[in-house]
This record gives sequence, structure tokens and C-alpha cells, in this order.
Amino acid sequence: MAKKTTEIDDFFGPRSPRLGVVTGGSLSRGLDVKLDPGTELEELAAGRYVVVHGHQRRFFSMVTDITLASTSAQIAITPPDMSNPFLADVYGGSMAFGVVHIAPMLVINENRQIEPVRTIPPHFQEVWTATEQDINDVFGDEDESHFNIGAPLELLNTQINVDLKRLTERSVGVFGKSGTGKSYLTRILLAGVIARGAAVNLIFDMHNDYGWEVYNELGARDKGLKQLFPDKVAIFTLDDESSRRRGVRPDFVVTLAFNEIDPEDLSALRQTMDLSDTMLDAAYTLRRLWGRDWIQQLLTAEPHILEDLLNTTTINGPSLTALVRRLQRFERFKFLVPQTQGDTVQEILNYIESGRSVVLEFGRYGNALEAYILVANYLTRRLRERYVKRIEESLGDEAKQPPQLMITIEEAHKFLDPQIARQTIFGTIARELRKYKVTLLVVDQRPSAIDEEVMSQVGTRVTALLDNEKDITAVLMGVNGAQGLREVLARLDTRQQAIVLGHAVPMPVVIQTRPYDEAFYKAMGAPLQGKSLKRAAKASGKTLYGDDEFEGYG
Amino acid sequence: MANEWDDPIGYVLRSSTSGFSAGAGLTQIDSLAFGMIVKTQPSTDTREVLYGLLYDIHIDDDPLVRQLVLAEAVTEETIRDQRVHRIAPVEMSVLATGYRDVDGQIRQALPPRPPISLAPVYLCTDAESREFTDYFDYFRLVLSASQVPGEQLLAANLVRAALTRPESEQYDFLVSAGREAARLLSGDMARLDNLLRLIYPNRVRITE
Ligand SMILES: Nc1ncnc2c1ncn2[C@@H]1O[C@H](COP(=O)(O)OP(=O)(O)OP(=O)(O)O)[C@@H](O)[C@H]1O
Ligand SMILES: [Mg+2]
Repeated sequence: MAKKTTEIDDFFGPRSPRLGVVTGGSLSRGLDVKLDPGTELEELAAGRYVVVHGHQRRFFSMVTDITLASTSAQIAITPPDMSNPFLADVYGGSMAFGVVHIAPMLVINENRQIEPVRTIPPHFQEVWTATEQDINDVFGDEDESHFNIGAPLELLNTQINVDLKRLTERSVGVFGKSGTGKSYLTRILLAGVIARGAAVNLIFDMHNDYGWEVYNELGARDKGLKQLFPDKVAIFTLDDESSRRRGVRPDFVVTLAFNEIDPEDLSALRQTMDLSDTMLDAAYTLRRLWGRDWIQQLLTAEPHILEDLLNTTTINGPSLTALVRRLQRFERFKFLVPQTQGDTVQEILNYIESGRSVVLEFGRYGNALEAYILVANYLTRRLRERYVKRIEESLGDEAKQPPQLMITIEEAHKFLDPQIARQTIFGTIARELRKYKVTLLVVDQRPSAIDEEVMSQVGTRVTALLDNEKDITAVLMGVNGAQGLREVLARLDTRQQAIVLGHAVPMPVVIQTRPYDEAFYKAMGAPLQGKSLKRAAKASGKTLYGDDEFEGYG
Repeated sequence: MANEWDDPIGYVLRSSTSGFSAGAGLTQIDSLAFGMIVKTQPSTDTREVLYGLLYDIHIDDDPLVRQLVLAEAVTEETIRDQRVHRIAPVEMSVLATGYRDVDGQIRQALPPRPPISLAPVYLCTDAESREFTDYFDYFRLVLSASQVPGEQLLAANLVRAALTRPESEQYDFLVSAGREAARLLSGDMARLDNLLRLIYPNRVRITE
């Protein structure tokens, strides 16, 4: 109980309350903190930030586990009479005590610079709850490139700001069980990216969540991105009727021509449509024989034509029949037409080049996974081809390059499953990093089903509650110091809480997601007013994030 | 503190570094109590003041007492006279628990040397008892001494020490003392439980 004020304390100012002292641990496993008798165990939550005051440094750490300990095995066998308040007070602060396990996340040195954790504080250093000042030192203020996405647990008057540049130059993942707020989180992130012009977005909007208004769980309407940013967002639709029914006036109605679909576009549907290798081989053969009209020819072919095919090619009967049956499903998709009017890809590109984001609504086709995957692959493959071309032609001249593009897909594991991730365009984009200025924002409730190599390239991960062990492992894989977050992740609230980790934040942080409400809409319209750019994280970002050339998580 | 060394309650009979015995007149018996903190006066300024806990008080017989026990019709007068003038003193045993070094610091450890015989022995004032019991390092000496009933002695001492404090501080004092004892006795729940029951705050008022 000796009150020793160190210089660093004078510098940072006093704080309260003290929680306990460090009693053990290691750099790899994290630290054990024996709680002071007065510390109310029940008020500590996994995910809360605490600060260890070392001699020279402050160690920002997150509570990852809480345990009960006692100094004697006997006390567990013959528990004392805790109904006696005196005995309860004595035992409660001595023989029986709480231990919290904390994971150091980063260090602030005496020059207020942020450093990665390379050491641990010595024994018996004091541990305190983090204050608002502590959080501000690390996450700074909102500014042109930093966007507020929520507040840390228990410190609801502070902000957690993500670095939008870092966010968009690598792929982003938004994960969580169904109903935990993934779509809302994604909409908040997208709003930030659009408001600050960090990137232009193409959003494959499966459930019509992003463009126009949505009904929240209370049955009230929340605004879509087009309503927040009428000049910066365009709504494209595959289902004009559905869009109009919801009050949307789409900027463009998308149609795709049957004769534009290549066998490559089908390979992404391998799992979803249960296409075998021989069926795909047959598709390639047909494309070669019949040219661009192969699908329509196949669907309308007379029996004798098919007979001929079987005799003159290596295609076998059952595969051909199966392929036909699969492709017949496409006939339900009204957006697939024999001949298209405009060039959808070029249309999207025009919007993107003028800095406008495109939300592609699927309307009723959102329920048909094969439509979603087909269209997303079809458009993305062609868009990227043009991006690659443009960028290669620019010969490194930034001015001639198209803007940074972020493509949002939902049910991402259907695109990035280990079986197909190597063959699909989305796997390629995830793996080639930001060379061609295209990155992904993947939204998924089953991150464990995403190809590991692709996951390792997801630079920033925002994850709401996950309860499947495999999913938790997948999300935390490769992130420094994140192993301790398992318990935290499994215990988030079922809604509006998330852990943010990776490249866009200086350290993993549990947030109470910013409410998506009138105040949010207002903030999106309002200019940032004279916010200071002072931020420790910025000054020392390089040391913290390591070399800028991100090579993925090991 | 002009009269700090006035009115000793007794004088050292025998001593060692672990404690001493002192003798007193029978009239002092009412001011003595098990668990009290007593101190010895050093012979010179360069010696330490010794502190200890009073743990045993006994009154030996002497030849006259033996006779009087058997005699018939002993007057009140005779008995009073015997008590004042008896030749065998009341003997008390003191467990050494610390000393005040020449620099003025209290150290709760065995003293470097025992008090010399006939050194005067005093009861500590409330202020001094409080000062001594502000630290709990002497618990170990008490609980590990083989010649004393450790828990009983420490408990008696703590209850007294609590009473030297303002009422609002008494409970917290006993809780922190209890926690320190729990630390030391974590391997022996039976002794700990015994000690804690003896200092349970309700008892404070009962002893009063
Ligand atoms: N930041 C927020 N602000 C306001 N309401 C929110 C927020 N996050 C979540 N909600 C509420 O929680 C509900 C569920 O969120 P959301 O639709 O984003 O979940 P989800 O994870 O996308 O679910 P699903 O897996 O079904 O798509 C919303 O309808 C909304 O009412
Ligand atoms: Mg959703």
C-alpha cells in the first residue's frame, strides 16, 4: 500500500482505481495479476483494458481471463463461513482472491510513443484500469483518415478510431454469428470509407442491406448509404421490381448476357451448384465448339444434336445431362438475357472512376446463392481485368490509375472456400494484396470455412460474437497477441459489440459498436471541425505495424 | 515526555533475546493483562527500548502464604498485609516482539541483546501501542514462538490494539490484521480459524 509516485505517473497524471499487482506470466502467455482485496471481481469483464505501470513504460493490456485462486488447498475443502461478514472480509482479501489474466497489447514509453510489446513489466508492478486519457493516447482523435467506429468497453465517452487508409489498402473481414450486427458494422465501415473518400466501393448487396433503407429489429427504418451520400453512391439492381417496391429509384438495371458467361464463371459455382470436374470439362469443350452462344445452344438443343456431341467428343452422357440440368436453373434468373443493352462492367467502372460507390442490389435473387456467386464473379473478374490493364498502362503514374476499390461480398466462404479459392477471382484478389488497388471486404459468419491463405491476407478483422471454436481460431490466427482474445471473443454481447484487430488499429480492441442512428447520419454529413492530428499512434505507426510491406499473417 | 520512565510496573528478573520475566509487587496485578504490550527502559542512551507481549502472569507461593492457607481465623488485615509485604513477587513473562532502535525506528524483530536484570519494565501508552501495532511484522514472532499459546496471545493483543484506535477504524484494523494472519497461517486453517474467531469484532465490545 506504499504510495510511490514514479515520474511516469507524474507525467501521466493520477488514476484510479488500482486493481492489483503483476505476480507472474510471460511474454508469450500474458501476465497474471493478483487482484487487491478491494477489487470487485464481478465488475471486471473480459475484454476490458488495463494498464500496467512498469518502471519506464505503460503496458496496455486486455483482460483475457479471470480466475479464482486461493493460497491453500484446505480452504477449498473446508470453505470458511462466509455468512460471517468479518470472516468474509478477511478471507476474501487474503487466502481467497481473484486473478486476472491479461495480454499486453502495446507499450507507451516515457516519450509517449507507442511501441510493440517486446518485454513485460517486472514482478509486482501495479495494474490499473485504463482511463479515457490512456485510450486517447493510443487511438487519437477522429480526423480525415481516422474514423470512429465505437467506444471501448466501460469507457463509453471515448472513441476507437480506425485508420481508413490502412483499412482499405488491405482486405477487411467482418465476422460474427447471425444477427450479431455484421451488416450494421459493415454499413458503418462503408459509410466511413465513403465519407472520407478512402476508397470507392462495389458492394454485392445480397439482402438489400446497404443501398436503401432497412428495417431494424425494432421495426423502424434505418437509412442506407445512398440516403446518406446521394452524390457518392449509386444503386444498381438485378431486380428492378424489388428495388422499386422498396422505394428505390435505381441508377442502373443490370442485365447479363448468357453469351457472356464463360466456363470460368461456372468454376466458382463448383460447390454451390455441385458441378463436377467432368461437367466443367464438358462446359469448356462446348464453349470451344459452339463459341459464345454455348449455353443457349445447349439449353435449346434437339436430342439428336446432343447425341452427336456424345459421339464426337469426350463428353459423357450423364455429365452432359447433369450440366444441362444445372444450367436450366439459370433460366429462372430474369437478369440473364440473350443480348444485353449496355455494358454493365463499363457502367460500373464509369461510376467508380468518378469516385462513386456502387451498391448492387440482388432483390429476390439474393436468396439464390448461385445467382449471387455467378454475378459477383462475373462482374469482379471483368472489372479486375480492366483494373489490371489500367494500372499496368499507367506505368506507376498515380494520376493515371483508377481509384482504390474495395469490393464487398457476403457469405464470403462460398467464394473463398479452400477448394475454390485458388481458382476464383476473389481468391486471387485476396492473395495479390494491393498491387492492383482492389481489395475485399468480406462479410461472413463462418470464417473457418474460408481458405487459410486468404484469411492470412485479411489485414483488418472486425468480429462480433462467434461461438464456434473453429471460427474463433480462424479469426485470431496469425494476429500477434490475439490468442488471449479467445475467451473475450466467445463472450461478447450478442449484439453491437465487436473486437477490432489487425492493420487498421494499433492494438486489438473490444468495442461497443457505434449506434447507427440519427446522430450517425448527422456526423456523416457534417465536416470534421478542426480536430487535432496529434496522435501517438500516428507518430510511431511504423514501429508498431512493422514494415509497411504487409506480407500476410504468418 | 519528562515522566516517560516514571512508575515502572516491575523489574526484569531473567532475560534472553527471545523474552524476559519481570517481577512486580502484587498490587500491580490489576494493571496487568494477557496480551498487553510492555517495554523495558534501556540502561543507557545507546541501548534499545525492548517491546514484548505479556503472556504469562503467575503468583508463586511463599512460606507465609503456605502457613496462612492452613491457619484458622486469618484476619482481613493479615491477608492485606501479606499481599503488600510478601517476599515473592508476581512474575510475568514477556515474549520479545521488537525494539526501538537508537535511531528511533521500531523494528519488529528479536532484539540484538536481552534487557539486563532489574531493568525497569513499563506498560506502553495507547499511543505507543498503536504505533507498534501499525505494522504486522511481529505476527510471525508470536505465531511461531513455541513457549506461548500463539493464537490466544495474538488475538488478545489485537483486540487491545483495536481499542486504542478510533471506533471507526477498529473494524478495518482487525480485517487487515486478520488478512495478514491468514497469509501466515494459510497452511493451517484450524489455527487461523481459531484466531479469527477470537478477534471477531463483536468480541471487542464484550471484553470492554
Ligand atoms: N450499430 C448498430 N446500431 C443500431 N442497431 C444495430 C447496430 N448493430 C446491430 N443493430 C441491431 O441488430 C440487428 C441485427 O444486426 P445485423 O442485421 O447487422 O446482423 P447480421 O449479423 O448482419 O445478421 P445476419 O447474419 O442475419 O445477416 C439490426 O437489425 C439492428 O436492429
Ligand atoms: Mg446481415
